[in-house]
Amino acid sequence: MKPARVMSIRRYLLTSLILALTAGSFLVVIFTYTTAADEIDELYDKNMMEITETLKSQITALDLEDRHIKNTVEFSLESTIKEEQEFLVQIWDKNGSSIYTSHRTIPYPFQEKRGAAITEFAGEPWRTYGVETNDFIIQISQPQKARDHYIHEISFHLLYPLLFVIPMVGFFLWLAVGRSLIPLHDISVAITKRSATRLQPLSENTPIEIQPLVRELNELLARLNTSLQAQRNFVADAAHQLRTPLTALQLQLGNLKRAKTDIERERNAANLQNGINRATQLVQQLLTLARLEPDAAEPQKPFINLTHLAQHVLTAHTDMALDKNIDLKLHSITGILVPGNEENICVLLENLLGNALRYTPTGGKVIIHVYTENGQAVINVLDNGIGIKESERERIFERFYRVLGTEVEGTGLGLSIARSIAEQHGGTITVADGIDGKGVGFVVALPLSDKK
Amino acid sequence: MRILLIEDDRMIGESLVHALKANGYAVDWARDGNTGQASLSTTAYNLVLLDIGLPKRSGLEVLKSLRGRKDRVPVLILTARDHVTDRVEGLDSGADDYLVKPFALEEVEARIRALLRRHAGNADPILRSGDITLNTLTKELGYQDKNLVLSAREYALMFALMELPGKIMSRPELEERLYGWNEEISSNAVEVQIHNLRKKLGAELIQNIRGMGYMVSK
Repeated sequence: MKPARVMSIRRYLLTSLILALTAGSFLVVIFTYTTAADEIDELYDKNMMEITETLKSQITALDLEDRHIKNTVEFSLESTIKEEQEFLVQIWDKNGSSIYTSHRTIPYPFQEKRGAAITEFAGEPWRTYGVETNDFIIQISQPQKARDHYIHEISFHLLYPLLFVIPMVGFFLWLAVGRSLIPLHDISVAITKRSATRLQPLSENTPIEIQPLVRELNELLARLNTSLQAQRNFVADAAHQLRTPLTALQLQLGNLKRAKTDIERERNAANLQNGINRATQLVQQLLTLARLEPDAAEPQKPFINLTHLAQHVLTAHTDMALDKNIDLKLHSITGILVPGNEENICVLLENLLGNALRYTPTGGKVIIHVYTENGQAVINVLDNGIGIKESERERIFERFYRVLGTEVEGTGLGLSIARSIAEQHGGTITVADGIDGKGVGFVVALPLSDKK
Repeated sequence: MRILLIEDDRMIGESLVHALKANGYAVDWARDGNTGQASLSTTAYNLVLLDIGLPKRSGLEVLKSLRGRKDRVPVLILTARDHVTDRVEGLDSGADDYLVKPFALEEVEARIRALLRRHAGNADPILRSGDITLNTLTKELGYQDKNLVLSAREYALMFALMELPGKIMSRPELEERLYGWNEEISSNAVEVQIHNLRKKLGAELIQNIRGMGYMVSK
């Protein structure tokens, strides 16, 4: 994970949080505006009503005698009502002639309707409240625009702090997001410091959101460490084990160069050939083991006929069995199918059968059973050869382990390869007694193919 | 010149035994630590070639028990372990030299010669006694004004006698120095070798002390 990716999480979080904040603020603005508009309308409607009622109770006919106004002044836009506290007050007598107006320049007409009303005047909505006494008709009016102006002003005063609040909150978010991403950044730095030779686990002292990630990473690191350690041990072992055949080759070559007679030369050349064969076998087996590393991708088949494979391997070893006069038999039920890599299962069978034939003395017996048991395919390779002591049975699967005192040549890798193959196929390999309690028997159990 | 080889690998063992015999050494080959240790406690060897990674008993254990008995026989370790710590441990346990596998035949032979010379208290490859010189590199024997390149067996015989001039070596002692395990020895093999040498270089070369054995004069 590169730090740039961590930074983009920060940017994503910041953008989405600020967008959400802005959208929320916008909703607040709309709600505030409409509520304020309604409240203010209600307030001034009530105000107009109260002024009207006050006038109604105080006005007398006498006060207004001879105050009839002549409709002489022209309407002028200059003198319209702009402030929200300003009202147009008009009084008419019962005959409909104007007695009083607070704004001579506004010829707002007499409304037939009493009470609250919304009308239109000079192309704009006006609000009016009218009341009738015994002698007069009192009408208080105000253009909606005057109120809107006020509503806008109030809304602006309420909302403009948001212009500072949003950047401020954004700034704190930026800090907080940054701080909460520090553990991630720390992990990324810690991972950068890890290498093939330094695979110690990461500290699990992290926020709970990151803990699963750290735990998974630690498990991965542990697996990687085990696998690398195994690889290193293997390479060291292999290098060490290659020295022995190489030494033999060098000495055999030295002897060949010094041979004085043809007979000696031939014998020394034959020795050298044996040495080369042994080195070749070791190299081949090392390659097989390398191929069996857990991560190696190999072609898999869903159905491998174990019966056919066992017959094939048996046929390939007939000569060896005849040479040593060994009674070699295969007992198999037909059509046992297992999934996996055919070549590797073949190597597994070859190694077990080859061992059985090599470690069984002339005139002995080797039997292969192939059958199914407990939902598994089982291959049982039994002999009545020299056998393996109880104390050595666990160690024979170790790489390069050889049973002491064996005269048979070998690399000590065959059984290790067999176990790797069995495990690669999700199976097991175990060792038990051979035929009639003599010799040795290897039992391989492999999962069967899924039925169609 | 009797050498004990303690080595578990069959091919390495066979090759070394073959080559060393051709050099005139008598070679016994033990294939595990226990056999090696048993051989060392019953037979006097001139040199031991010792592998470390041995079945039953490690080479280092064999070496430590050998030195624990104050046996000063030269020991050359032959091993696949090439770490400095391994070498140091081997030498500190009492080995005289350390050879890492794989090695060439010539090198192990040269080191065997060097160890044998050094053990005889003589870094000079030529052994001298009176008129006799024995070149351990070329296997040339010089006596008075005559020079002769010896066969492997003749060389082994002369080396045995020249190692401690004046010391009388019995026939069984000489046989032990000349022949390894399982080698057929005819009853008069040593006499035949001595007879041949005397015929080539003169009867005074090797003195016969009746009833005791043979020696070269100091």
